[in-house]
Amino acid sequence: MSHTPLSVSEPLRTSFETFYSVTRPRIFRAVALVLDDTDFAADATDEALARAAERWSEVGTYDNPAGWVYRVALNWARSNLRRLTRERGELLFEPGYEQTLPDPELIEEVRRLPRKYRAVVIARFLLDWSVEETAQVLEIPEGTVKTRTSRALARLRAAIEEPR
Amino acid sequence: MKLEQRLRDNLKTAAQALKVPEPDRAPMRVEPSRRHGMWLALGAAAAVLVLAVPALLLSSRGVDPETGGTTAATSPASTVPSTLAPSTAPSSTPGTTVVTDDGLVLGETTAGDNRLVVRASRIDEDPPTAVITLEVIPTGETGPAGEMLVGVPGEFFWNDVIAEGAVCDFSTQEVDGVTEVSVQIVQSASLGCSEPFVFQMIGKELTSSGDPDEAARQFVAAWDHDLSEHMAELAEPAALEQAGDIDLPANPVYSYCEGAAGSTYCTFEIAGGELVIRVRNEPPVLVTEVITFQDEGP
Repeated sequence: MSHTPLSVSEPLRTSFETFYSVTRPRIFRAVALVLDDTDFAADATDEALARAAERWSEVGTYDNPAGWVYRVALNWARSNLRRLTRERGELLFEPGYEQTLPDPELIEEVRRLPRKYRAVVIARFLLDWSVEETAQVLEIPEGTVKTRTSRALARLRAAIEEPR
Repeated sequence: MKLEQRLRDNLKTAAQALKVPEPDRAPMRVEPSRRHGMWLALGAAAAVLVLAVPALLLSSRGVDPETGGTTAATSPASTVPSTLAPSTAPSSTPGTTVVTDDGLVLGETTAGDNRLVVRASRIDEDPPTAVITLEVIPTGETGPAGEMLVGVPGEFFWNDVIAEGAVCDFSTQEVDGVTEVSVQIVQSASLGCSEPFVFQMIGKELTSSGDPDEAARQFVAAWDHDLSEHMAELAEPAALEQAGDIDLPANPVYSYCEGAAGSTYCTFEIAGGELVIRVRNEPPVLVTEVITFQDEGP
């Protein structure tokens, strides 16, 4: 089954150390919001970064190596979710942000979205990736990114009863 | 304020409020651990270690880390990982790890008149993953009389399964004339070993423990990776025919399974809808029906 390549090869853009220090917190936070579990997100992010380290000579040439890490982290999580939920029961999330959010109910509704919708919403609105970038990162068609985005927004809009 | 902007603001606030955990300083691959949480303290030393150790391990096994491959077939085979200890089966003898054109032999043992081989085959995706199989090869024959998937194709990472100690357990045990075979493979550095995959062997016939959920996931993963032989092992002909009429979108995502009337129905998310796999609960546990549902328009 063919997938859209994430990017073409180019010279290394930065050292792995620099990439790591910038990317780990950013991708961890994004993955935590997708998975709804901070411990699991830390493992997934670190697993993905470990793989990035192993093949940095290639990953470091990508247009969006952070996107590669995001995708590998979510794929790793998907592969291990069933086992982890069986071992630990319900997944855990320790937000700690309720007091600071302008619209806590909006984030609660994001958490109720199916995971595949959340992965797109987080990529688009937290990581600020374009439709094209999100499609490449998640290896789904651009049309699917648009559909999931519009459906997610429709669900959020309906849930919070935003005046149109 | 528009919903998109509200969403952006709230997500960024929520993300900033999340405390980023400190990475564990234990380097991966040197000693895959079973504990939760892991490695990768930043710093040149750790990065160098991570980069250097896998290459060292791979070279010691005669495997090309880039191709994963078969080019090292002429290299002397390394020994079976020390954790490969079929202690429960006096008749079992660990063999050696060798690379062949058919993949990498992770472990080998004997049970009665048969050889049992755990083999990894590479799936070229990004990052590369593996299909793990258990084969039964009768004495005096070169090809397998039967084989079963170990776990789900594509859910093991190639670089993990070719590392030293990837086979956590490969043991056999005689129970009432049936040889029970247990295989555990390293799943990842932080999660450690997989759960045991247990098979029964009578004569040279191999059967799995018969988990319908696992069978559905194996079937869909085999389908996703175009592994038609494995699909055929897991499904009845009618279900295979149904699958043949469907152009499966990339990356089906397992969602859930539920049982009803002697069958288990497992749902996978696919682009534009859902895929439902029906599996018979009683042996032989096989996929009996393949159904797709299209999403309704927005």
